[in-house]
Formats: sequence, structure tokens, C-alpha cells
Amino acid sequence: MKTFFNRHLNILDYAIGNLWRGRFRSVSILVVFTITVFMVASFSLLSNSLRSAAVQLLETVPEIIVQKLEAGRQVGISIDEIPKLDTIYGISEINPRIWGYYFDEINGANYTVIGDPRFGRDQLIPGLPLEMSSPEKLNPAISPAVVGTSFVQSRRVGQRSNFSLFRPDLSLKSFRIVGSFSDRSSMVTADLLVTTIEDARDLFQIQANQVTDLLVSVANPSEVNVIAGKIDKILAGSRVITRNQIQKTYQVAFGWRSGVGLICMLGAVTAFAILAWDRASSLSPDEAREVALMKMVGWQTSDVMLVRFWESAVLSTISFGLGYMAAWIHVLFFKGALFLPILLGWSVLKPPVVLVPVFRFSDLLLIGSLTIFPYLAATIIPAWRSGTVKPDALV
Amino acid sequence: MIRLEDAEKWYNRGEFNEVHALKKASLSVAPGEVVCVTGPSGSGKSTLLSLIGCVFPPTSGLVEVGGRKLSRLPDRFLTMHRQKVIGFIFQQFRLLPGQSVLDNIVLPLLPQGIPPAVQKQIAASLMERLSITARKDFPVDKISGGEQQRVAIARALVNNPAIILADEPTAHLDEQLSREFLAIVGELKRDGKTVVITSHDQRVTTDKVVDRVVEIVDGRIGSRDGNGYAH
Amino acid sequence: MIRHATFFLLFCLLFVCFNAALWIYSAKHQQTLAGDGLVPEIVGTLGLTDLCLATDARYIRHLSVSDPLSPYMNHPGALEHFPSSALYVPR
Ligand SMILES: Nc1ncnc2c1ncn2[C@@H]1O[C@H](COP(=O)(O)OP(=O)(O)O)[C@@H](O)[C@H]1O
Ligand SMILES: [Mg+2]
Repeated sequence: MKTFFNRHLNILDYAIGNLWRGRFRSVSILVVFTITVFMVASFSLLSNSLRSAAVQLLETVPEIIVQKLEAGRQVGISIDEIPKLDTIYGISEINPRIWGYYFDEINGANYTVIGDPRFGRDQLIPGLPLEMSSPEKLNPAISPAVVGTSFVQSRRVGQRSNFSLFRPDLSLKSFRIVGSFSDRSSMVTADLLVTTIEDARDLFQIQANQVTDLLVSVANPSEVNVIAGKIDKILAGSRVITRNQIQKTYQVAFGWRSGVGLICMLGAVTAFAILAWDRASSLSPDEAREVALMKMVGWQTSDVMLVRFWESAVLSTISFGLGYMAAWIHVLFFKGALFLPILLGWSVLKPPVVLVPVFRFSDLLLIGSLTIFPYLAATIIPAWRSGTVKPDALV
Repeated sequence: MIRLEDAEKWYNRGEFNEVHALKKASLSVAPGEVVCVTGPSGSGKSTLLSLIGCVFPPTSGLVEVGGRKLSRLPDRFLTMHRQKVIGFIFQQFRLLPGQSVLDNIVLPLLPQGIPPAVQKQIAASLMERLSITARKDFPVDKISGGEQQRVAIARALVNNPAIILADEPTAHLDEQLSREFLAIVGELKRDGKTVVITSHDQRVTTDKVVDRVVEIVDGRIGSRDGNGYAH
Repeated sequence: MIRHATFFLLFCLLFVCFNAALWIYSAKHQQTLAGDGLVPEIVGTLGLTDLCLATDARYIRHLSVSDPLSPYMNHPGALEHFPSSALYVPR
């Protein structure tokens, strides 16, 4: 047993000595290897942290959302239809709302506008945690609004408490900011403008009895699917989305996107494997002589291959350690600056993202198998060729 | 210790570049004997030595080294046997460039799982004996030719083999160093080692340490005693 | 006598420690994601549905509640909001 360990340690020593003697070559492989690991790991950790953000942040999304489609387009729902749902047992609350987008001609940004019936001219939505503006702003003459951080920045609202938006007929509608969302919540609120349902209707010039969707709360969560099915039957042309579906979207979207990213990376991984192959397979006369000598003095083919294995293992371990660590730092402290745009897309507003990756052993395995396996595979045949050099070349 | 009977060696047999390097070679070396193989260049001296050194099995015939027949041994066992009984000193020394004297000497010990402390101990006594202790940490390409050969000898002795083979050991050495080499051979003989040297160097063939001179011409072995008379 | 191998093993250990430190740091900062419970409260109260990651199109801003046809309803030139829209199929 002791001999077994000493043999491996001796050979590991020898392999490290080899790497050190060929340090220029080793470092060049190390650098490329580390970059490959870094890229693959960054992608994996980015999608990992986005998914984990989705899980944590979207825990409380509405149980059921009802929209209406007409000719494949979303159209308004008349509030007169709501009483039809009274027949369904198990619904605890129905909240109609206006929900839409405002395209800001001035800076090309899109805002999300929400008109909530619980929001009154002189009454904030109960239970909504906000950073409050001074109370005199609760002047009921102008439409109240609660805004997110990106909105404030892009409109350059600054200390001002009023701003105006265009109605479709290009007349101006003024708002006063009665509160704003904390930047700790900007992962979901950055582009929001929340106002009363009447003001939202006024801004978008929507008919008085129309809303864009209904939020349905359910008393017993296990009945969500049944109730969703019933709503779908009762409201012709409706589109019913459940909490479960919403939450799944993000797992799928980022899984998919990072999958595409990783496929793009395959090119890089392949290129790297080719480099490794090239470096390892060119058995120089010097190396051949060295191996022949080792064989001559009693090294077996397996011993020589073990040297090659340990060389690869040492390079892989160092590169993997460095690349993985760099990727984690990249995602955690630099918000994945190099690759985030690929996962998120271009946008005028740059909502601040908070990325905190979660350690998952499966990620580690995935990153490892995408980087170390190609390398080992690329070096195994050259290692075998090197191991089978015959000693008679020496005499 | 060593016995060859009608051993044949072909290189690249059946191909356009085939060479019949050794023809019906028979030779027997007793334990503790020092034999010198001589002959013109290209006559098959190195081939004979490789055969004895378990580098490859004979194409046909019998080769027995250290009590074991090589004829059909697979590579793996040839290597194992070589490790146990043979110490080989090459014509060009074949040291690993860039590595230290110590590293070169302990190379055969590494795959045997011998811990570094023991390696050092074994190497130290050999270096002491061959007076290269002062060069211990020098890279082998930074020491003189005579020192390089002594490193090669130390490496050949590190497994404490029963048979020492040296291919043209004095070809690269001057008068003085050649004499030193023969002195070392004398010591090995006193230790009871079996030594086979190839050489066409008069100083070696006529030296009194050599018990027997074997002549080889065009792959065929003839024999003379130390005084140069053919049997 | 210290082997090269020992240095290498120490090196590996160092990496494991560094990475473990990052893992632990991240695990401890998971709460910052949810703004210490602030976010689920807002999401629940307002009935929000999506992460605000990119706002270039409505089917990107509200990934989970937009329908498969919505990308085609923009004017033709706006179909591709590359790369965000190019990489996934809206539900
Ligand atoms: N590996 C080899 N492949 C083919 N021919 C060889 C090989 N080694 C030696 N020979 C040939 O075998 C013959 C004997 O060579 P060798 O034993 O090296 O002679 P010596 O050592 O006496 O000079 C020579 O003709 C040489 O060209
Ligand atoms: Mg020769």
C-alpha cells in the first residue's frame, strides 16, 4: 500500500518536474485551458444564479392570471365579465388591473405601467413596502405614481416630484411621485410605474370598463389547476396562466439560453482540445529518447502513461481551479459583465441585476466534463503512443 | 549467468531493409566474469549487448539471462527482468538533459515506489563511491564527460543488478579517464558482478581486468583468450 | 524532504479553500437577492410576474405571461431583439 502511494507520488513528482522544465509550453496550455474553463463556468454560473434569483424572487407571483386573446392578440377584458366567475367555488379574490408598456420617445426606453384598483388618489396600496416621499406630495389634484429606480434614472427625475407622459393623442398627462421602490427590489421593480387604475386608463386611453388582466387568488393552492381550467371554460377566448407555469418559464428560459451559449462554447472547447492534442501528440525526438531511456531502466508502459496522466491531471486541476474561481468572482462581483448581455439581451434601461450563484455539485460536474474530459481525451492517445516507445532506439 | 545458443537477430525481417545482425551466436558467461566483445563497427556488438540486456528477445535461438529464457517473454516481463538484473551503460551516456545528477541517478527507482529518503540514501552512497557527490545538484549537461559517465554508471548500479553491460564505454574518453573506467570495472568485478563490455579499443581488450575477449565479425562470434589467440 | 507533489497538493487545498470561501460567501448573501424578504412582499402585493432583466420588448420584459405570437406583433423591423429574443422561444 505504501509502495503504491510512493509510486504515484514519485511519478507525480516526476510529472511536475517535467511540466516545470517545459514551463513555456505548460503555461501556454494552462492559459488557454483556464480561459476555456472560465468561459464555460461563467455561462453555467450565470444561468445558475439567474435561475436561483427567479426561484427566490418569484416565489409569490399570482396564483392565476387571466388574459384575453382575440385573433392571437391580447385584448382588454370587460369588467362586466368578472361576475361570471362567481360560480367557481374556491376563488378568494379577483383583482382586475391595467398593465401595459409605455414607450418613451425621448430616450427609447420601455416602462411597465401598472394601474391597480387598490391605489387611490389619496391612498397608497395597503401593505406595499415603499420608500416614501414627503407627505405633502399626496396632493390629490395630480395623478399619483410609484416608480422604480431605472425609471427615476432614465427620466432624470432627480429631486423633482413631477413628470409628464404622453397620451396616445400626444396630450400630456402629469404625475407626481408619491413613493419609490427600494433599489433592493430593483430586480423586479426597476422599470415600474404604478398608478391608480383610472390614471392608467387615462394615460393609455382605454375604455372605462376595460382591464388588461385579472389576478385571481385561490383559497386552496392545490386547486389552482382545477380552477384555472374552469376559468378557461367560462371565459371564452381567455388565456389562463398559473403560478407554476410562470415559475417554470425562467428555469426553461435560462436553461435554454445557457444551453445555446454552451453550444457556442463547444467551438472554443473543441479548439482547445485540438491545441492540446497538437501539443501532446508531437512526440519530439528528445522526448522519444527520454521515454526510451525510462523504458530501458525499468519503467513499464503503464508507468510512462501515468506520467502523462499526471501531467494532464496537474494542468487540468490548476486550470480548473483558476478558471472556476475566476468565473465565480466574475459572476458574483462583476455581475457576469462579459456574458450577461448574451443571456439577457440588449436593453435601453439597464436594470441593476444582483447575481449570487448557488453551489451545485451538478454544475461542477458539468463544467468539469465540458473542459477536462475533452482535454484528457485529446491527450490519451498521445500518452499511449509515448508510453509504447521501445527502448531499442537508444543502443 | 548469461547463455546464448544459436541466437539470431534480424532487424525488420521480411522488409526491404532487413538486416541479419546476429548469426547463430553462442556464448556463455559465468557469474563474476568480465567479458569484452570486440569487432569492427557494424559487426553486431551492440546487437549482442542489447540481446543480453533484455532490450528485445532473439528472433530465434535461445538467450538465457540471470536464469530466465527471454525467447518468448512479453515486453512487460522483459522490462521487469531488465529492471532486476541489468545495469546498462550507453555509449552516449543517455543522461536526461536539464535534470540534476541526483535526479538522473534515481530515475530507475521512481516507478518502484521507493520513498525519496531511501532514494537519496542509495544515490548518496553511489555518488560517494564514484566521487561525484560534489556534483549532486548540477544539471548533467553542466558537468564534464568523465563525470557524466560516472553518473551513467551510478544509474546503472542503482538497482544493484548482477549484470553490468557497457557499450563502447571508452569511445568518448581520453587515456586517463579510460584507465579510471577500467579501475571501476575492476571494483565491480571484486563485488562479484558479471560485466560485458563492447569495445574495439586496444586499451580495454588488453587490460588485465578483462577475463575473456569475444570477437564478433559480421554477426558471427569467434573467441580469443586475453592473449589474443583464437580458439 | 518536500516533494513537488506536496506543493501541488497544498496548491489544490488552497483552491478548494478559496472556492469554498466563495461558496460560503454566496450562500450567506442569498438573502440580498430577495432584498431580505422585500421582493416577495412587493411581488405578492402588486401581482408582478417577471424579473426585470431587459426591457427591450414586452415579450422579453414579461417572458412568462406573453404568448407565442407576441414577437410577431411588433412592426416587422422589430422582430429580432438580438440576442435576447434570438435565444429562446416565448411561451
Ligand atoms: N535498429 C536497427 N534497425 C536496423 N538495423 C540495425 C538496427 N540496429 C543495428 N542495425 C544494423 O545491424 C548491424 C549491427 O549493428 P550494431 O550491433 O550496432 O553493430 P556495432 O555495435 O558492432 O557497430 C549493422 O549493420 C546495423 O546497421
Ligand atoms: Mg555499436
